[in-house]
Amino acid sequence: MEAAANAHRQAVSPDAFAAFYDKTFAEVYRYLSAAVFGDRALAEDLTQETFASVVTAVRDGRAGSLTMPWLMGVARHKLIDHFRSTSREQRRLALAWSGGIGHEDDRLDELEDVDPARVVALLRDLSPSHRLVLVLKYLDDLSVDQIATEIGRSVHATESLLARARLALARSIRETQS
Amino acid sequence: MTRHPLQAVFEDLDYQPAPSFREGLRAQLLADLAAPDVTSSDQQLGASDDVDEPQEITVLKKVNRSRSGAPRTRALVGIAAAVIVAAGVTAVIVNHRSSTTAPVDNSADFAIARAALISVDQLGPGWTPELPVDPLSWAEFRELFAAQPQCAEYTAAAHSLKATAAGAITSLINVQSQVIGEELTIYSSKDAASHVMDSIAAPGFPDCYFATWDAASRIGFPGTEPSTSGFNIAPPAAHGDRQVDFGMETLTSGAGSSTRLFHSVWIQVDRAIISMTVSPDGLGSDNPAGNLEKSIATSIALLNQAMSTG
Repeated sequence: MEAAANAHRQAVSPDAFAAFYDKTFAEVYRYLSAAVFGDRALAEDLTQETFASVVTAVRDGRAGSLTMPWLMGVARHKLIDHFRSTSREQRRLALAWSGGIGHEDDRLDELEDVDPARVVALLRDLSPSHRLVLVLKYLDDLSVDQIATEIGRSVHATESLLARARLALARSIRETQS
Repeated sequence: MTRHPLQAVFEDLDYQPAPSFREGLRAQLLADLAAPDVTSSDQQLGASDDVDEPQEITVLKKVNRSRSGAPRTRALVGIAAAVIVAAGVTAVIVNHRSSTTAPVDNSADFAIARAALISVDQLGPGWTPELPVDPLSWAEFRELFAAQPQCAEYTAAAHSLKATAAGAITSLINVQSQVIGEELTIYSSKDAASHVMDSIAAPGFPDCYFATWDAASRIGFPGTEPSTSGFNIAPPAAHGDRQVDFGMETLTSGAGSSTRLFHSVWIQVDRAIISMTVSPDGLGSDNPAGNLEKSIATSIALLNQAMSTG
């Protein structure tokens, strides 16, 4: 058994792994950095976790899966896991302290008038679930159906979540402008 | 088809990685490939901030305080702040390097830390693990800590906070809304651990910690206006090589105003520091130290066992 595992491990040489890393690192990092709005420490954490999965894949004999699409899928799941845990934590925290955050109806027309850097700052302040769906929608360019699959919600719930995320951002923009 | 303005915002984002991170991760991953039992997710890149290790080991500081009749309005529902602030609640391996010493091989420390963290089974019935505590909280807390003017002199205490956490996490939630958060940090040497304890033990550190705590609470609970100060609380029994503790009383204003009490304790055991944050007044318990004592004793026993076998 161990011999077989070792054989798998040998399927990707250090040089080949290093080449894969060199080829893919920048794109993975840039994607994750953008998805967490420039939080360097977090982007590094997620990048590290993503490539740790590559190592695991190599060890498990799944070296054939080491493609860019696969790697970006791993990165996205790391991101989703992160937002999920953040969201779960914040829900619990909000319950603990009572007085949850309400959602108001609003639109996103104001966005074009705002400095992009300011938009990024406002995005950072959104709840994790809102950030996540906006990232998946506008950074990953996924459809609502695809987002629903990724986050494990119904399409209807995802549409609703996406709408609330836009509204939350719009509200933040409005508050900033006022 | 017009482009959504948010797409434009995302497309314009271009964050560049630090070369040191890129190369460090590369080297670590290649090492992981060669070392089958340890992966980079189990270790802490970027956790090796250069620290000049102190020349002396500080001895036990005895804390002796009595508890006052601090007001309490309700049970420890607000322990959530502990989870944000001590977002750590995690096993952290810190490989401090001095400019005169070679990097320390701490590959076994993560396994030690994992083994030393308390599990719910060890606290008896009614406890539930909260997993995982989100790594972002680590990052946010690091930033918050650094942003507090009161913390400028206590950067050593934040060294563990600079370590990116990816490991085992223990935040233990009791069905009665009590929470015990545990953070276990293993340093490369006892001197390095003592250096961190020096910062934590400094007279001004509580103010730094309170400020960070409140800043974190404001993020976690928009609309509240927390204000934390110290309060007297009976210290735990003496444990480990050195121990620091203080009580925290967090007042929140507004319609949901309340008072919440916390007890934060740091215990150095050789080259490890165990940090515990507990809610001492869950549901009006008259035995506030019970869970804390049990947790500390359990954690130290686990740590000693893991150290001896690790």
